[in-house]
Amino acid sequence: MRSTGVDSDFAAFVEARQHRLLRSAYLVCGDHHLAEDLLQGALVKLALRWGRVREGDPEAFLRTVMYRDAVSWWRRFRRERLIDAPPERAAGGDDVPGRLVFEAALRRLPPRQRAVLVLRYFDDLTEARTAEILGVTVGTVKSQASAALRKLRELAPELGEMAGRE
Amino acid sequence: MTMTADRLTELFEETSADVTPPAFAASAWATARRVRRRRQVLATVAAFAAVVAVTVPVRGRDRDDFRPAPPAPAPSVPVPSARVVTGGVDVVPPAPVVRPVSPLPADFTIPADAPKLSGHPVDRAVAVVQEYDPESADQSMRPLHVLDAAGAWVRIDVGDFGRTHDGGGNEADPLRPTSLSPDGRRVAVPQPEALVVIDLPAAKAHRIPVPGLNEQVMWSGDAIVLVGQGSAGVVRVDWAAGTVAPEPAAMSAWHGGGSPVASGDIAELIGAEGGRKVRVWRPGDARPVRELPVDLGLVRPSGYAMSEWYGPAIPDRTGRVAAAAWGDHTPAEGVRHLGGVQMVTVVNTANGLVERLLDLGVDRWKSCCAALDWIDDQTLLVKTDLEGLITWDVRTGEITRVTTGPVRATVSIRLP
Repeated sequence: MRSTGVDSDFAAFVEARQHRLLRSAYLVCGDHHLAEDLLQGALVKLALRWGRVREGDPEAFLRTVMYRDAVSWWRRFRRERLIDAPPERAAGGDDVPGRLVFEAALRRLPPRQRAVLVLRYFDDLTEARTAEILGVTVGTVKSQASAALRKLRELAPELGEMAGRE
Repeated sequence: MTMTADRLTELFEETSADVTPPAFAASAWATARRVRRRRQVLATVAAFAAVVAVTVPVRGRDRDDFRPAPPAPAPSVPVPSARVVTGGVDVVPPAPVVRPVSPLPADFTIPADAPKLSGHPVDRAVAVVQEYDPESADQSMRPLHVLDAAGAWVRIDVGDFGRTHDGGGNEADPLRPTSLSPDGRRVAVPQPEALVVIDLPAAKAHRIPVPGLNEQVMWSGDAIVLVGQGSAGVVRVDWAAGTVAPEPAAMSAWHGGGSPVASGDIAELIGAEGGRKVRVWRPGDARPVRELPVDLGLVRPSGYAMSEWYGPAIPDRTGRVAAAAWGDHTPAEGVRHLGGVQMVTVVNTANGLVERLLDLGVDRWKSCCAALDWIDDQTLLVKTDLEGLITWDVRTGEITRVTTGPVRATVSIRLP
């Protein structure tokens, strides 16, 4: 590694995962700028510890930092409203209305419930891995997922068939 | 995975489909390198400051004595001074000189054996602190501590309160940056359906029923607490009398910073239709005293613009307020940042002019930083994520560091 360059392993690791992780961050926080802040912050922490983490499970480290930061950010600094216009959306698609209804309902879930759903159904992680990343018990993951799905059905009854009835 | 779970996955995929691929590896690596360098420099400066600190005599309690001490002798390590760019814009230097502000400590580590308020009443506090640690597995709520005027920590063990939450269930620690009263003798703690006011000299807590979820507080003088949520609308609580009354002025306890005088005007920096505005309220009046567009004339030539202000606008006694914000920096040459630039602004509430702007850069979190208190009519105390507490001289642009490291806590400060 040159003194002024990026570690090639770090660059390859980040390039392979950053888009998917940014999408996860966006789903959890609902804000493009904040999603980039969250991922960028987690990547800086990873870079600072790369020498120690690279031989272990850097992806787990990255997800843990990002999701816990997302939840704690909302707990401590939660904004009451957004004054900037929401990001423009690509037009078209047969189920755009359903997607928008889903997104609006998702925004109204508490942050930890959102994180549980994204980890389980977008990142496709097990309940045990989800619990590890969020630093909670498997029982909490189960109860939060159940509560989140119930809340989604209440907020958007038209999504009932989509969100499942467990 | 069930079919319905598959549909949920599809919805997540569709909802995030417009997120464009980033390219973060190089910038994250470069930021990490800068952080390492900064830590090395700060460690050296902190070691130097510790040596200097033991040579600084203990100062008295006169008002002037609480101003920042004179500059320390030039240290043997490079310490860049604040750089004034142009048009009232300052930039935080990589390693500001450390200069104590009595009685604030250089290290906000609270001793585990701090005495309890019930056995050690506090006549006058300069700070209330609630620690947090987002990286800890233990996310339970930390207790509140006060720092008295002699620099001693006391743990608040009176009153029954927990985290606040909004209608969606999002929780927040109850201490607000505006919780400490102007005279430093009471702490206002918002609670669902209540306000708890901790009377520090009496070491007693008063619980006043207040309808609503009540997440924000600000003081109007030393007797009235204005309680609300994030949106417009507050109620007036006379904590000593235990009375609650609607406040006609539709001010927000999220944007407002309160007033040291009960009848004093309270200014907000807000985003509204038609742009960013300064809105000034007078308690008791349903209509704002004035509403002005924010004037970026001094900072626009340097390419700065605010997108949103965060948290309270802290008033000085000359009609200015200071508040944290984030926004854009589009210089004539060099890297453009559309959003993501963290900053602190000083705004004149008489004419809306942004008189001074502190550029904190883009390598920070949103809401990383907050204006806390005016030390005097030209020096602002600011909390940042990387430096801890800093002072910003809004006349000269000088930045000094008060703490030797970050402060992982919500703090409310009222310097005498």
